[in-house]
Amino acid sequence: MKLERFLVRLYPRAWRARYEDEFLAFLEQRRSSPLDLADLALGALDAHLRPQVTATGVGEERRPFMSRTTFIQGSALAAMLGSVLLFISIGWQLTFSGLDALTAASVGLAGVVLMLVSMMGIALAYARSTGGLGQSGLLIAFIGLTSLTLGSLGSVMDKLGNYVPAWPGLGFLGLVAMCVGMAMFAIAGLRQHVLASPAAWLLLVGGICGAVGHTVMVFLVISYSSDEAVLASKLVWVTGTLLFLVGFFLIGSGLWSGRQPAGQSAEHSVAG
Amino acid sequence: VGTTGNDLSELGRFTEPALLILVSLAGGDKHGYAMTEDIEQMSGIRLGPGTLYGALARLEKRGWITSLASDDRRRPYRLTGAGASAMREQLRAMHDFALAGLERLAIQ
Repeated sequence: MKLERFLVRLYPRAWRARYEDEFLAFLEQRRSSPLDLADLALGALDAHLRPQVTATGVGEERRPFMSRTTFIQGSALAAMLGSVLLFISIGWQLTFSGLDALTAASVGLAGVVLMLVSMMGIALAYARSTGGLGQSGLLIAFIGLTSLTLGSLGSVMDKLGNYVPAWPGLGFLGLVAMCVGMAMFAIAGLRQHVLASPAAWLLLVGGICGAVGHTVMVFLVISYSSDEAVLASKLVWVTGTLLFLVGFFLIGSGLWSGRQPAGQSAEHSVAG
Repeated sequence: VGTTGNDLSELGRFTEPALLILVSLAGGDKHGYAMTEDIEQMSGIRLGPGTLYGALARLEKRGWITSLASDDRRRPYRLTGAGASAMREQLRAMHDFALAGLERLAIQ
């Protein structure tokens, strides 16, 4: 129940004031599957984006704090800026290896945080129109970006002299999950014709190369393989990840210019 | 409580869970766990906790269900007249659609 309780705490305060007691009683009565836990997390996100309960009670409408369009455009900006910063950070570390690593890691962390924030708007714009595959991909990418954020934070701490043992693992898993998740989202977007082809193909091809290249490289490093093999796999993951980031930027620019799937819900405001 | 009309489809992805809840409550007052058991038995669909309470909050907001006082932490819910009316409308639309489909099959 610990994990369930933690996830319930992610719901808005007003929602918990109204439903928390009975919700916890409900959760105590049945064993939660991994799908239930994911459903709980999505429910918390939904309760924040479309609150049905306010501090004054169920059913009294709260004035939207931001229109849907503004929220998506803010997310688009975060996607573009975040992908550029991460691109710079990776390029920087390749070109000037060992030079000012702290700045490069900090730029990377800022980029990853912005990309994580942008996922809210990307999900709001595309989750419904890309179906189960797209939604699963977005959820995996969101979890991956969260893990990558923690990994990047650990990397910055490391450069500051405070080594956190878990950060390389979190960073690796996060990057792979982000690439795989967004590649799934790209496939769904191509199938449903809701994503521009260049952006979707860059996400797909870059995501696969990034995930596979990084996994192979880590495997080669821990099995003490030859430097040439490690370098080749590094080239694949770096090239793939940079292509992926260009695709991510294009998704952001598409959203910014108003290219979103038609036929969204009648619930037009973020808080409405 | 603000009612907004009788169209269940305005609930977006919560339309189906909301209809299942309304149908379950049409058989009598129930708390959340009893609802999920009833729905699973009736339709084979197991509602996730986030989906169940997302739909309950939307239904309560529209005045289609109401919560009842309880000494227990588990609060029961009851179908309202407006909820019954929304459910009837949705089921009729589904019935008409099913009939149309079956008629087309019969023609072939």
